[in-house]
Amino acid sequence: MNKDAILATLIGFAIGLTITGIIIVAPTLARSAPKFPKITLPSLSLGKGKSAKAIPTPTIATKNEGAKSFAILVPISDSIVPKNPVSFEGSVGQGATSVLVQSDTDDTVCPVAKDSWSCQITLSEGKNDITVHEIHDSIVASSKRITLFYTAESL
Amino acid sequence: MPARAQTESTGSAKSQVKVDDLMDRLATRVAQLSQTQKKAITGTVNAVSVSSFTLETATKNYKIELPDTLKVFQSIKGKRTELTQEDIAKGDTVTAFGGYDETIDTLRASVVWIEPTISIFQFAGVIGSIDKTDYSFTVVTAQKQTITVDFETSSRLSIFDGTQIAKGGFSKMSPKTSVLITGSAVPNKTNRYSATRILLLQPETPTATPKVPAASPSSTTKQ
Repeated sequence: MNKDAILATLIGFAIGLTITGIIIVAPTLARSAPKFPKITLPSLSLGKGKSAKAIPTPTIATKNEGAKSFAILVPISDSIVPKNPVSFEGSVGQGATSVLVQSDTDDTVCPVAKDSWSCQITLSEGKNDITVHEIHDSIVASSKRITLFYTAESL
Repeated sequence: MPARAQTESTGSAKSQVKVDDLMDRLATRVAQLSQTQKKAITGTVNAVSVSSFTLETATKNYKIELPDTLKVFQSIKGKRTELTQEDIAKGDTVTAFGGYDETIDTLRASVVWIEPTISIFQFAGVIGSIDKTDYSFTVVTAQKQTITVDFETSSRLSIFDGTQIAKGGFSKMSPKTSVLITGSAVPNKTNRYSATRILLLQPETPTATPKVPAASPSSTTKQ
């Protein structure tokens, strides 16, 4: 075998070894290489003869957290009332002028002060179904019903 | 050991046993009390026995235990009357007050109140038409249900002017006025009630059309 043939074999072996090395090592090197920030080019839009629609500025829906609604806060429905008469308390919505309480025996007006109401209601012994109406200028705006139990005997 | 010392030792041991027994009973009672809570249940009595009865409610049946200390009451002709356990009969509507043990689903009653059997209705609406010949009127509820209401001689009519309630009569009623009714159903008549109380809500301006109120009829068991 002459020198040229041996040299060509060696050169070919070296080139093959280099290519194999690149294939094996390159992915690892690429992962460990320092990361460069992605460069993005600004997108340009050329006018098409129509004016783009204006996007309205989004508005954040605000809750009127201070506003109250009609509710009976005291007493709690289905509870045993320890003494008679019992204090009723609650809140009303905007525009309420008064609160009317329909008990088994009587109708009672509960005055409204700001956004709350309170009054004393006399119960009968046993089961009491009470309906409470929120009044807006002599009109029943909404109604709620609770059940209370009362006995004069000590339990 | 001297005889006296032995006697003292035996007596001390007996006392200790008594104290331990008392402590155990106390602990058991405390545990029982912690399991019970004060509760009142209204329902219809069925399956009455000497020491208990079953109370049927809309959701479930409860066993009501009747101890010797039980007190039974009923309002008879408006007067609070004390009765006995034997007066509780099947079919009665009663409210049982006592300690409810959730673990055994039983109420140990201390008071039983026998409720009236007449169902009382409370509802709101707007007066539709008025029949002055038979003293009746119609009420249109929020659900657009038309109910006929009989004005009885015993019916109590009041007028709410926005601040206070004043007495009134049948002649004070006018169509389109908001009204709160308390009464009982007329037997064998659909959508017809006998009023015990009528509360007129006086509108600010007579020509104003009042809004339809929100309340609808619902029954209670009161006289």
